[in-house]
Amino acid sequence: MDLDSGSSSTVGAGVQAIPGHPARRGALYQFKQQNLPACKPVLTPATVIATFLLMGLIFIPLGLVTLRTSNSVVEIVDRYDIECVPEEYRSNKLLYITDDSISKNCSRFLKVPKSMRAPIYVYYQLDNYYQNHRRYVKSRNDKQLLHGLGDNSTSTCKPLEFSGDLPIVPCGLIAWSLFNDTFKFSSGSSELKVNRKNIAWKSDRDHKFGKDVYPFNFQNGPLIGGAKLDPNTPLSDQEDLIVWMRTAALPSFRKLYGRIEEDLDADDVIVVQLMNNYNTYSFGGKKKLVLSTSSWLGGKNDFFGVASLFIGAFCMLISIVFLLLHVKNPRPYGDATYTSWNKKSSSS
Amino acid sequence: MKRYVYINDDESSHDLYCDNRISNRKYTVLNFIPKNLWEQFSRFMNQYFLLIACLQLWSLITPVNPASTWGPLIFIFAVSATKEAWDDYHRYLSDKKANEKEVWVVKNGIKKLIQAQDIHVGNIVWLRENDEVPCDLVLIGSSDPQGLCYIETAAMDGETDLKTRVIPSACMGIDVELLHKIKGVIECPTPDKDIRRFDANMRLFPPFIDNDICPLTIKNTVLQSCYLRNTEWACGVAVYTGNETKLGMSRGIPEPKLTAMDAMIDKLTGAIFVFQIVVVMVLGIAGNVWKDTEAKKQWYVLYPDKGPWYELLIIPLRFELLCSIMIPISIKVSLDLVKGLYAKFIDWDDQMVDLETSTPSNATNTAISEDLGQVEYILTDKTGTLTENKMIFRRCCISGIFYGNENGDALKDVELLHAVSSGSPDVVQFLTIMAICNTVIPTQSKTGDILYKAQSQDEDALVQAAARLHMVFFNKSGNILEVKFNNLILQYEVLETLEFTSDRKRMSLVLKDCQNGKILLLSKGADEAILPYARTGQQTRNFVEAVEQYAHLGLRTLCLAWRELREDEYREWSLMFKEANSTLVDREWRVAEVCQRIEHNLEVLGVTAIEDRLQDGVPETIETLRKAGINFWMLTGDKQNTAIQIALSCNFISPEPKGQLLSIDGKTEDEVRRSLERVLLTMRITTSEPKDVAFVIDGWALDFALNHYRKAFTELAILSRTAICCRVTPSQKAQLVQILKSCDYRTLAIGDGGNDVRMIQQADIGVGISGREGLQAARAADYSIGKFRFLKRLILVHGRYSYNRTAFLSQYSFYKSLLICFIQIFFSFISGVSGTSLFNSVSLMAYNVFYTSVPVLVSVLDKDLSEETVIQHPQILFYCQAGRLLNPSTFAGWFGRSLFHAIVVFLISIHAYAYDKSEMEEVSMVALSGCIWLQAFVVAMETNSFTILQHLAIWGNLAGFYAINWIFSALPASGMYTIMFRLCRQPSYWISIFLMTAAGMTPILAIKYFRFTYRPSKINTLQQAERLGGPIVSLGTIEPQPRPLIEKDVSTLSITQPKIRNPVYEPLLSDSPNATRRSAGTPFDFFQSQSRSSLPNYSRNCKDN
Repeated sequence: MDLDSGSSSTVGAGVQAIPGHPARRGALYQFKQQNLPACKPVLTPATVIATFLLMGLIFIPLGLVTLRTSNSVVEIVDRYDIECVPEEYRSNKLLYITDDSISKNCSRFLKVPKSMRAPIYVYYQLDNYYQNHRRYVKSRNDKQLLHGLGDNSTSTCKPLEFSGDLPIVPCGLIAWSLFNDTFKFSSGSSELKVNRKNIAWKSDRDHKFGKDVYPFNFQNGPLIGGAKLDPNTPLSDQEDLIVWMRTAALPSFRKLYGRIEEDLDADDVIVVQLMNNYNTYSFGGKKKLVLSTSSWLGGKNDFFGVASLFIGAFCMLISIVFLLLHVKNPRPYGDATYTSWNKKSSSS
Repeated sequence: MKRYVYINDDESSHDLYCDNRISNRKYTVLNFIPKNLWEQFSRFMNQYFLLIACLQLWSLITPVNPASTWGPLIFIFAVSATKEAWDDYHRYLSDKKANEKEVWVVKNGIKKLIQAQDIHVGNIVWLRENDEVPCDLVLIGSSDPQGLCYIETAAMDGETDLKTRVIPSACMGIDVELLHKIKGVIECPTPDKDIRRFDANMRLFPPFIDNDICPLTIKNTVLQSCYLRNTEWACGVAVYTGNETKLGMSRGIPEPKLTAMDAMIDKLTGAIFVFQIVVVMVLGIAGNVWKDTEAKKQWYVLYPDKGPWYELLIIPLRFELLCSIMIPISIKVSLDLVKGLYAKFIDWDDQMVDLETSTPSNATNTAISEDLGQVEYILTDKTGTLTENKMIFRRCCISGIFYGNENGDALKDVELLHAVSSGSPDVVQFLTIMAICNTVIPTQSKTGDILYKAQSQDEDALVQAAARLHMVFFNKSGNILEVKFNNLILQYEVLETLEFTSDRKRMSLVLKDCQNGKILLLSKGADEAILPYARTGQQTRNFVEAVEQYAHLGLRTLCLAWRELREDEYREWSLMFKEANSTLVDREWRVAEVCQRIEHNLEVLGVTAIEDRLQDGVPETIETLRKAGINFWMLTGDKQNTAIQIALSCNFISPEPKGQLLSIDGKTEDEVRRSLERVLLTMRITTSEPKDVAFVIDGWALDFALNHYRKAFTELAILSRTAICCRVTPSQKAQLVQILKSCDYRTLAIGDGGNDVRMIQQADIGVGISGREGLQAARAADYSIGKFRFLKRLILVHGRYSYNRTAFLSQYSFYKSLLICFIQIFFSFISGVSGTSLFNSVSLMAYNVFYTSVPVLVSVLDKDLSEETVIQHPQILFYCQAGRLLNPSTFAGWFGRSLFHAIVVFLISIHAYAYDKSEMEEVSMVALSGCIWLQAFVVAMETNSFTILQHLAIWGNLAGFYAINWIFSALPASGMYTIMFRLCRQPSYWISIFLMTAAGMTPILAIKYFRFTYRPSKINTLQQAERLGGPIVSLGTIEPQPRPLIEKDVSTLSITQPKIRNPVYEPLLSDSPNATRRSAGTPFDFFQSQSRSSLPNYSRNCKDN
């Protein structure tokens, strides 16, 4: 077989000149002849091993940096839903939470493990709470939130569109189930001021929740869900509601409660006075209070670091394996003799 | 059934038959929408999508806005409906033009100009020169005193030469004025589509001639869409009108061809559908269980205690809708689009333009380019396909003297010229037959040159040669033929023409020599059709030898013979001939029988030898394509020896030491059977040898084989890489294609003439050579090319690239749909199995329509190997033939990849965006971004050659994704207001994307590199060689033995049993075609001892040579 010209990687075979055809050249012509200049990358050992090495060299430091960042975040997590139930109701928490006559007051003492610099974010965390449940996540009406009752299409709010014969503002399950535990913080004798302003997204306040939409007929029905709203505050200022209505994608989520705008020192003890109103007992959910500082990556999250380190290590490993393979078993490229295709070629 | 047409009788047949309105339209304005919708919805995929779209209207179960399905669905429907409407509108316009054309028709005895659509059966239609014939007419008058007229039938059969038509004898000599008043009845068959037959009778009523029944043949008709030429006027009776004409009946939408790839894609779609149903059932049950156990406790979800009766169905239906994107709605559109582009690439290809005639290649059928890459059998015609079909008279043998043997050109042979000038009677007679025993029409051009209009190239060559030898046939007026020989004008009157049919294989003329009044019979035909009827006592040995000798040189031979008829013998026979010609039933057979009675006792004069040169590049093309593992069969109407010689000269079969030719012959059924069995036995034992074994069979034996020993013949067909079938009829060609197709082989039929049309239509791929025998084949074909050698490029370059590209595109389409669907499924496990969609409607719709479909479309420019490499290593085509790039196993790879990527994207997004960042819209966009990045890298990694367009599409698409989402993020009304701006400012977003890309792509890169380097496929090896400039060690001569069946028990094969193929071709790992295709070896010598004289093989042929 003819062996001479297999190595040409340039495209564009000799195109015969055809009389009567204009435009022999040009990008369009090359496209039509499928002859556009092309670059054909090839996986050589050098490039592949170098790529993996480079990936390793990027990801391992990245992992270390993100892990360090995550470690620099100080976080206090306190689960209070069990502890806050008085001993006598521990066996029947549901009775405790549904009975309005029982005081829901509760005190928690949190020890600051390391000094925390302001701002310190206060979150409440719910576990095993399906804000992403289909029935739940759809049960809202964005138009109503922005324009109020003028748009009386509350159909998407099923099953909570009306109470009595009157529409509810804000309608729907999400608003109805608004979280209603409250927290007060004090350190030593002084009260720790929690800034509850600007906890919701500005874009939501400005463009998603109406400035002249007021709660109406809310929590008036036979079923009381969560918090009640001040009927004299427009929705755009009901920041707890706005935060709550940014539904979480995961069954375990944190929502911003406020910011503490002063530093906390290590070993400070923070006293939390809380109202344990919200019912998570019926479905075994957990309630946690979280105080956390922040970094450029957000809150404490080791995942970035661990994943980066893992991927970096994997890339390094692969690059070493391929290097060894290449050294031990170098293959001349383009040599087809070792393939079975050719075994029979001796016969001809 | 017969129809009776009353000539010029407006009343009786007015309502009986349809008027002449032609309608090719599929739709009318009113029924367009329902009919078109009905047609589109008769496809399963469309029904499925419609069901999904309807379900989405139910807001209780729809996960997203119904627009996300309705939008693409309506778009797809609108596109194909528009295309249909456009085509139909053009059909309507051309119909209208034809219908409103004005023609002269006799109405109530007066010639009137009416619209063509108002012609009724029985009307007399007048045509003038160059008029198009509006419906099928039986001629009754012509301007020619002999009653002749000339028509051009190019629109019907593609043949550009003029054909003569003659008015029936009964109408001969009727005065022009009386033609208006003619009355009579024509008895003709009900409309059919055979344009070569019209067996009818005509009887004119008094006062016109007697009550004699006058037979009509196709010669007495002019058919719709022909043109009247060289005739001042003609008139005829309309017998078939409107859509009942012969042309109208033969029209019809050919069945759409489905490629092997489409079938595979359908199969995979079916598998995905089943998978989807399983997923839906599992999730549906899980969802209902979770609802009953958990969700009832979740007070904030407020589940009613008692739901409606269909409550159990809601969750499964939700999941059905959520998973419906598993089957990509865009795949059909994408495939149609790229297939159209493949076809365009074929049309545009400058290297497939026939420079001689400037005919570009053309892909008529845009849907089957991938099949070109999977061809396993090529069935080729010989004349005009392998050869040029430019006939040149080269040699002859007259009365035992060979002319033209020295210099290869009889016209320059001094001896022949001498014999002509000395007027040797045999030679003169020989030349006379050459000149006039034909159906050629001489026409005189303005300059005085004589041009010949011949229906067959052979006749043309003979007449031309005779003219060069001073026997000039210069005029034909009616029945009188005029020949000039050495300034002497000879006249002959044609009494009867015994036409050529493929069964008779000869034609004869009965004519009267006007010089001396003798009646002569002149015959010319194939040797086996002439020599057996030689005069008793005449030695034909000489001629047999001559025929053999010429055949070995690859020349086409014709034997010429004549005899003188006695007057009474002619009279007697003439009556029989007339009678046979007027029968309605089996006319052809009866005529042949009568002809037989006169064509005997012939004085054989000699043999002519005509050369038909091979086209350029035929041997190379055949060699290359055979290396690519394609088997060649030659199906020809020519005789065995000629066919074998052509086959030898174009590498079709190899000469003796390497090749072996087995012959199946026999005159009786039994002989054929024994011969067939013997060949089969030989085939079985020799398949393991590195020898080209071929079989040759002629039409006669093939007939027995096909009708009585189909099973054995099928087995033989499977065993044999090469076959030569000679003397086969068009229907036999089609039957052979059918046999190979029934064994599940991909067949390509290539031919150039009308006799190949059936084969071309029958085969998976029909290729027509737009050659000299008219455009008939090219019109019926899926592809038309100018020269046989372009087939190489068509298959190896266009076919192979198309296959590779579609393989990638279709699997990728499933990959990206599965990817997003898997993420939805995973998400449902953390959202209470309630069927929440993680992605919003806009994203879901745009994902399929914009984000993922654009980059993959430019894969139509991808080339895994350069064209030169492929042409040099045609064996690489094996990957396409065996379906290595698209099969359940490769598909499983893509399935696994999408599962893996879905896991990566899902895990990273929910962990990176946990707790305080777990806002729904954000998580959704992070996951979507991950999918987009991954798919961009997947396309990039699977692309073998990057042109500027690929870069633009892949990276531009990525930029486009951000642009689109930024726009949506800037709209306060949209659900994702500010989300994308917010995300792009977060380092954690970019780190997540980086992690996803790395985690998703590194294992794939590692596996790809490992395979590429340590387990390379042949494609990889060639890529390495091509791109790194390494030494290309010959991929060599794989002994082409693609006989997967041999390993099985061949005897168990039945015709209906499809080719047994391992569905999993061990893709990418074990690439030895020989490993799977080889058969067990048997000692080579076995055949030699078996060889007997009754098996004429090559050694004999070659010795004679």
